[in-house]
Formats: sequence, structure tokens, C-alpha cells
Amino acid sequence: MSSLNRRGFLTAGVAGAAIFGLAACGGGSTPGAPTAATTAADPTTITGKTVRVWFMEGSVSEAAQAYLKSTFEEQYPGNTLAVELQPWDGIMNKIQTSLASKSESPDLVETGNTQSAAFSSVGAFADVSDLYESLGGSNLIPSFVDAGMWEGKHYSLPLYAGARGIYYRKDLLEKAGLDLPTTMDEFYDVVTKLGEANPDGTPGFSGMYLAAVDMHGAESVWFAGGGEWAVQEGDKWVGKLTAPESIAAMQRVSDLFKNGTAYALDSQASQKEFYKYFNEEKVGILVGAGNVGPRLDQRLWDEDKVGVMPLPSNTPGEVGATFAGGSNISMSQNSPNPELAKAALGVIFSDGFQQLIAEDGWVPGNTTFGDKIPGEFGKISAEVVEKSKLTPNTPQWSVADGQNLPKDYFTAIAQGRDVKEASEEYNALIEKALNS
Amino acid sequence: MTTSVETRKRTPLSHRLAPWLLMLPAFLFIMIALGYPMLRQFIMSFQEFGLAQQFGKAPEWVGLNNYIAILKDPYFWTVLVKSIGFAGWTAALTMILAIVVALLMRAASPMMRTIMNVVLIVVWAMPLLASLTVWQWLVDPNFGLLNFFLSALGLTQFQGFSWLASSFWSFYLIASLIIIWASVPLASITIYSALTQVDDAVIEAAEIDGASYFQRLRHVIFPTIANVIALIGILQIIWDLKVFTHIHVLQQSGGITTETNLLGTYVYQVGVSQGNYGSASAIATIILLVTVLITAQYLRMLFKKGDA
Repeated sequence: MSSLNRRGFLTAGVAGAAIFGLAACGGGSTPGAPTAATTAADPTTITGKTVRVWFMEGSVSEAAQAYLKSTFEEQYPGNTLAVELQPWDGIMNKIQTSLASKSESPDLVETGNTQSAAFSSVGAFADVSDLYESLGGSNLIPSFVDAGMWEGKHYSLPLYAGARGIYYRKDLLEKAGLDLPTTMDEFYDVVTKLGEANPDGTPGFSGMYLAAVDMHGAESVWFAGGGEWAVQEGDKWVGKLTAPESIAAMQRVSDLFKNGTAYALDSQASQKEFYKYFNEEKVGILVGAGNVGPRLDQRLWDEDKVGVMPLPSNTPGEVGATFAGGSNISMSQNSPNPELAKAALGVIFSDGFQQLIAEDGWVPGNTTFGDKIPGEFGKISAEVVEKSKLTPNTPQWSVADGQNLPKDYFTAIAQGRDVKEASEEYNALIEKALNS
Repeated sequence: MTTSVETRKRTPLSHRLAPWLLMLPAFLFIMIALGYPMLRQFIMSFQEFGLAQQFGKAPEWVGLNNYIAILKDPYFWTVLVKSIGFAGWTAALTMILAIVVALLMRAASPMMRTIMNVVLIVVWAMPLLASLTVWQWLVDPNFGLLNFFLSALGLTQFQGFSWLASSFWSFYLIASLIIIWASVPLASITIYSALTQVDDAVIEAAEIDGASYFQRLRHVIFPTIANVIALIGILQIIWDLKVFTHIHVLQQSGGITTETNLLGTYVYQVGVSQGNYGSASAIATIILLVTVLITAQYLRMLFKKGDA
């Protein structure tokens, strides 16, 4: 009841703000001209505008960015489209300050799929329900569409999904006489034995790359072993970090940090290019999404030294759950050029752009292009996406994330804290944040 | 006495207004640049102001609730104690080093003095983020020069040791090292310029009277520069208490932020990261009060000087 009231109030406020923003913008950029052009429904009659699109670093390939820019500028001559790349660090802060400002707000903005809810719920994004069908409708990744909905309206649409798998060195496993793991226990054995064997005698060799700062990689190993953050019971969130399955899975992560990798406490700066450890042959196994494949040394691929497989689970033969990474795209409520922004959304969900996303290794927002994912990862992407899992879908998750709780939990484990003790501590903190 | 009163009576109105008019631009500037944000912060500290308010919803008045919640939160006290300890340790070491460097400069040959001056200025002028990036690479667990040297010396336990992520003790050690490195230049140059005001004749006289180096330091040099040292020392404490950028950037290197937070990053996390501007404003107001309390001595000194 109270949330309904709040929502009504909000929409009124935001609508007022939007009208104000439009008027201010029209008057500022084309003095003397009527503002009708800006509010007209047909974007082809508008000229001289720049549509600003925020993509995250490392998400949309340069080829896809170039395609978006040139196609948009061709279809809407006289206008330009500027892609601005944003780093993941501190993005929540940047989005909330920029989107709240009528002059600073970008037109379209990519957000992590777990972050969209926080912004949809406060009216930062524009309602794009009227475009939903024309942009792909039921072909769009359903769980991501749900994550982008708020009170029955579409505020964010899926840009891409990227569940994680394992990249491993076929030749090294062979030399060490190790078989591919079919369960997470075997996975632990393979990683530690590979590290000990160090078949090529590389100095500083580790079985795998696993780091607390590579949050979603470590989280995937935890999920695959049965780890869980929290579940909703009634209208309350109940922490699951202390559940026996979560503890057992985290114990394995802790053992891997200790015995399977030299990079448990790697720095964030190094993590940004974590595939370099694989390319330098310092690690034998990497947990990564589809976009990691093209970043691995072509020589390793050519020599047929790289294999790709899903993370196993506790049951032999079953694919393990991994973190369903990925992004949504939304239009800012304060977008200076709403009509052109909608037109740009059209280009993003066009066949050409969706195919380019798939070619980069991601599962594109429109799942009909999922078979366009090239290479080894393309073979496993369907099953890992199906098994993948999201973090708790509530705006409050971004409060927990804002307090750095998930990352701090993994860092504490990487520091060698007792698993049970750390899990109890963070279970309480996360539960508190989710129910605040 | 009587004459002065009479002359004051006779000064025209414009003369009496002049000082106020001359003060007006500075006053207005301070009110706009500092007064408004502070007032806004003060008002917000009594409101519930979150992400929804950022996007247009009207804030709700909550009275002293924000303050009560903070003062009841044991985490706030942990951060406060850590911040005071950190500021005390960092400012003390900065001051000791700065005084030593200033005395060295005084004793050095003109050539050496110029070289030292240039080095200090370069360090001082180095952009903060650039120097922090370099420092992060220096202490990087796998590629850092520091670990390379330590393990080359036979201390193999430092191979791959993460200074910033292993524990908050090593994090603070590195953080205070970087802050000291960055603050010593300004402090030592200021103290050195105060040292040039010490009369050489007095020092010579003390030397002839048989005063040792430390006696000369204690009884001749320090009394002359005491004011400057007190001023720089107190400013150092204020700066180190409010330190934000260093800690924020280093936290990105890993480590448990809830353990490494100091007041500056704590306010940022509550306000900007969690979108809880009301509570953050209340914390900022409390920090302001703490800073004023700690530096009251300096303020009193300043006002006394003003009266004299």
C-alpha cells in the first residue's frame, strides 16, 4: 500500500522533471525554434543532436560500437551517436549522480543486471514498455527481462548475458596425466595436482587463477559447489551463507585459495587483464565468460592447447550453476533526446548489432542469435546460461553491494579466515542489508 | 585615550563602513563556496535522504534519528578510533621527518640545499592519482618492486604477499607511508623557511656559551619556530583525519573495505555508494565537531594572536 503511494508520488515528480528538462533542452540548443521538434514522435525529422550511450568497459566490442555509431548516423542523418566507456569500479555512484542531472545524463545506459532494480525502483529509468514487443518481445532473455521490470513495466531490457565456464590447458592436463573433472571435488583435485605437477616447469606456476577481486569467477566456483547468498521467504530475505551446502562449497573455495592458486589476493589492477596469466602460461585453468576466449593468445588456440568446459557440480555429469553475469540497457528518465534514444535502442536490438554481440562471445539479449556465438565457448554457452544463477533480485542487493559485503566476504576467505566464522559474520551483515 | 575616542567619533560614516565593504567579497565568497554546502549538509542530516530523493521525491524529516543511529552503531566508533589513531601516527611521523629534513637543509651547502628543495617540490607537485598508481605498482603482490627486493634479500615469505589485501595493519602501514611521503615536502619547506628567521648571532652566542647541538635546538631554535611547527602540525592532523583519496584508491586494490575504512571513505560509502545521504550528512557533521574539538587548541591560539 505504502509502496504504491510512494510510486505514484514518484512518477508525478519525475514526469514533471522530464517536462522541465525537455523545455530547458529545446530552448537551449535551438534558440528561437519551437520545441515541437524535440517532442515530435518521428526521430527522422530531428537533426543536430548527439545521443550519448554509456557502455561498460570490456562489454561491447569495438566492432559492435562502430556498427552502432555508423548505422545510427546513417539512419538518422544530421545526428551523431557517441559511445562513452565507463569502468565498473564505482559505476553505481556515477550513474546515480549523472542520471539525476538533466544536463549531465546520458541517453542510454548499460547497467549490470543485478544493478538495474535499484534504479528502476526510484524512477531513474524511462518506461520503455511500448517498445518491448518491437525490440524482440518474448525472444529477449526472460530472467533478464524480469530483472528489468518494476511494478509491471519494462525499464531495462537485456543487452547480453555471460555465464562462466572453464578454460583449461589440454596439453598440461595430459602431461600431468589428469582427466577432466566430473564433480567439484574432482575439480579441486585436478587444480591442486596440476599446480604441483607443473608439467612445463614454468616458474611461479599455479593450478588455476582464482582471486577475491575476480568476484564473479570465485562466486561461480562457490555457486557450482552449492553456494547461495539468500532466498526470499515471505517478504523477508533469509541469508543462506551459513547453510551446510554453502559452507561446504565455500570451504572448497577457501582450500583452492590456499592450495590451488597464487593469486587469492591479487590486486584489482591486475585482475582487469586476468587472462594474461593464462597467456603467460602461469596458470593452467581459468574461470571466465565467453568474451575471454577471443582474448586468449591465438597461438594457444592454433596449437590446440585450449579446451572449454562448463564448471561441474556436486553430481557427476551435471553442469554446475555459475553467476549469470550480463547487462541490461535502459533509457535515462532525464534523457535529453528521448526520441533519438529510442531510435538508438532500435539499432541495438537490430539483427546486425545482436550478431556482433554474439560474435564477441556473449549470449545476446535477443536469444534467437545465441547460435552465432563462435568457437569452443559457443558449444557450451547454452547449457551454462540455462544453469546460471543471479544474485538476489531486490533493489536492496545494491545496498549490500554498496557496502562491498560480497567482495569483502570473499576477501576474508582469501585471507585465510575460518570459513564458518566468516560465513556467520557476513550472513548477518547481508541479511541486515537485504531487509533494511 | 580621550583624543583617540574623539577622533573615532569624528570619522565619517564611509570610513567606518570601509572595512566592512572590503570584507564583503571575501565573506560572500566563503558563504557561497563553503556556507551553502555546509548548510545543506546540516539540513540533510535531519532528513531521510536516499536514492529516491536524488531522483525527485521530497525528503522526510526524521529529527535526530540519523544522529542517534550513528552514535549507537559500534562500527562508527571503530572507524572513529582507527581514524584518530591513523591521523595521530601519520601526522607525528610527518612532523618528525619534516623537522629533520628542514634542519638538514639548514646545515647543507647551498648546492645541496637547492637539490633538496627541487626534489621536495617535485614530490609535492606530483599529481595525487599518478603517484598513487605508481605506489600501487610498487607494492603489487606479484610484480611489485617492494616484494622483489624483500624476497631477493632472502625474505621469501614476501613472495606474492599482498600488502593492501592481507590485513588492515599492512594496509594502513602502506597508506600512511604514502601520505607521509606526500606531506613531508610542504611541511619541511615551511619549517625550513621559518628556520631562516632564526638569528645566527644568537645561535653563535649560545655556541660560545658552551651549548651543545641539542641544547641549541631546544632552547634557541625551537622557541623561535614553535608557532610554525604548531600550525603545520595541527593542519597535518586535520588533513590526515579527513584523508579520503589515498584510502579510497588503495581500497580498490583489494582488502576488506569494512576493515580499512577511515572516516572519509566511511562517509562516502554510506552516502554515495549506498545512497543514504541523510546518514552520511549526519556523520559528516559529527566529523566536523570532532575536528573542531581536536583542533580547538589551534583555534584558541589563532584568536589569541588576533587579539594581540
